[in-house]
Amino acid sequence: MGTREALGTASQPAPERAIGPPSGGDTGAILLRGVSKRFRSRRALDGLDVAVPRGVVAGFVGPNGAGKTTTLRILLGLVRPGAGSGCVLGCPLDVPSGYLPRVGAMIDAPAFYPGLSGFDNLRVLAAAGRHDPARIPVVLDRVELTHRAHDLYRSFSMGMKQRLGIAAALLSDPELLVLDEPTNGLDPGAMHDMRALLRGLARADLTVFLSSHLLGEVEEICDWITMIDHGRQVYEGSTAALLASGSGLVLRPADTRDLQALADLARTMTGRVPSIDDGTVVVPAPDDLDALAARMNRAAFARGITLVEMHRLEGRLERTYLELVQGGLA
Amino acid sequence: MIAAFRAEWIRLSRPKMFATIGLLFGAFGMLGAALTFSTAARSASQLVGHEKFETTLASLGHPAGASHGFIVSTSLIGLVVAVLAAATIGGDYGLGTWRPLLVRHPRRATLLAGKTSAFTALIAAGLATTWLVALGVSFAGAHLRGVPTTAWISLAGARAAGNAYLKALFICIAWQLIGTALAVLTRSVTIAVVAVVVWAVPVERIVGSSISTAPHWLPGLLLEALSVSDTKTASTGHVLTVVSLVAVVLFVVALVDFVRRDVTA
Repeated sequence: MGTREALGTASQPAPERAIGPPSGGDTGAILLRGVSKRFRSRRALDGLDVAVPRGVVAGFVGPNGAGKTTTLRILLGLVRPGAGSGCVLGCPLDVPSGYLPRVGAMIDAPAFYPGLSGFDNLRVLAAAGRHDPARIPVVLDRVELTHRAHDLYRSFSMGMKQRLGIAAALLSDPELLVLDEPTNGLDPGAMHDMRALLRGLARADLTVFLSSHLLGEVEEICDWITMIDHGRQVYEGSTAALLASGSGLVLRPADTRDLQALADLARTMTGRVPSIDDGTVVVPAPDDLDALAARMNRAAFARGITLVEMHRLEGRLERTYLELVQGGLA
Repeated sequence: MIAAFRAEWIRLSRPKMFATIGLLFGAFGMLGAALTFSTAARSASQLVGHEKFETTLASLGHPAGASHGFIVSTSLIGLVVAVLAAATIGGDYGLGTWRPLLVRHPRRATLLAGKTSAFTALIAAGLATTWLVALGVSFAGAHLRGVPTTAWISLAGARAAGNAYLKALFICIAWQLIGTALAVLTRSVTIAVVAVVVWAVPVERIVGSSISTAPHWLPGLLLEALSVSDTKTASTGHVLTVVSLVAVVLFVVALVDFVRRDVTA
């Protein structure tokens, strides 16, 4: 089943906010259309489309070299696209000074002056961006770095450096927060703290655009996903819809000779193409799984097929990602 | 540009940075003044060897005598300023700090101009230290070698000191722009510093001694002539024109490159 076919029929718990792609005159938080970028002979982006609505925590995923960082650099005005157009917070992409004052960002690894304290590094950035210096203690408190604020940056652990990067990104009280692999290089404890911090940032007037290759992290934090591969979009939509598209019902008949008959029955009843795998029939079912399970059980019994096992197949981002990006689990 | 200046000034105005620049520039002032008074000849007939670096005790008693040691020291300071400028601007590439700065301050030309101006302010403060230290050592040298200092403390002396300071500032700014431009164009501290040193020391010397007209247009040699008041090689007006042209053109090329190139570091 094509994952995209099933979108919009989510059986997963609905997200707290109704979300959908920007439409009509609304350009959402981020809108890219046909953006391409080439670095000498290497094509980094190839007609990339991105549409992130406002107020979501959006995950930006793709394999290494897919073009994630290049996209983020384009959004931040660090790299100019070779072709295409777009808007960020309603302002044209080719005039970054129009929207960057409302954007906070941490791209690549956090970059600060090692000979300055965390506090002074934020003073430098606040002065450069004409931000209110009174925000510095506020953002330091937000990332729980107040107690180390006056220590030299070079003495910070990796987790503290990442948190200072988040603090710097929050200096402008942004409407859009762009983060590139914020948990990269962190130990499990620091990773957990960072995710809690990111979850705590979510609010209606803040859009977070988060690049990550950790799919569990994206599944846990994000309610919107943009997936790219080879510089092109392969999926975009709500996380719930994507996960629902990967969910289904696993049926195991007592007699393996009934597998094909059971698969045919499932196809007739759902209109979807089931797969036979390891003595089971997997029925893709983004709709109400409980109702389908009951109907399948009755129908199989009526045809003399005894089911010895029946369970839900929860949609997992990793499996769906592999299907979309690599064309299947094989 | 003011925002960029203030941001860079926060970085540069650390006590440690002030102490380093103060000690370095003060040391040059001390060296320049000490060399001036220790090598000064009793009369013009005793001048030997590198005449343009030497002076007589009689001339040191003139109003400009107080600034002589200071201006000699700037022939050394210029190259140091170029290296420091290349290291400061190039360091932003190595640290990756251009990225957060450009996100906060997307107008690239004013960002670079503001950072450059802040560095100039630091150098101006450093030169003031050089001048004060050189003046102190000069008074001591004058006392030891019997040079009268009455003319130093006069309106003419103050004017000479002001001229010397402006001349030194011009030399340092020219070197700073060259160092900054090389750092932006090469995006590397190491390459920029090596380029500055190789250009200023062996290349200009070799070209200058091989081509008779080279001292009239090579910026390093012209600045050296200015620092030792060698008007035989080139007039002050010629030095100011040619060096300004070279430094400004180089800086503008770097500025255009900085504005147009992708920032991937």
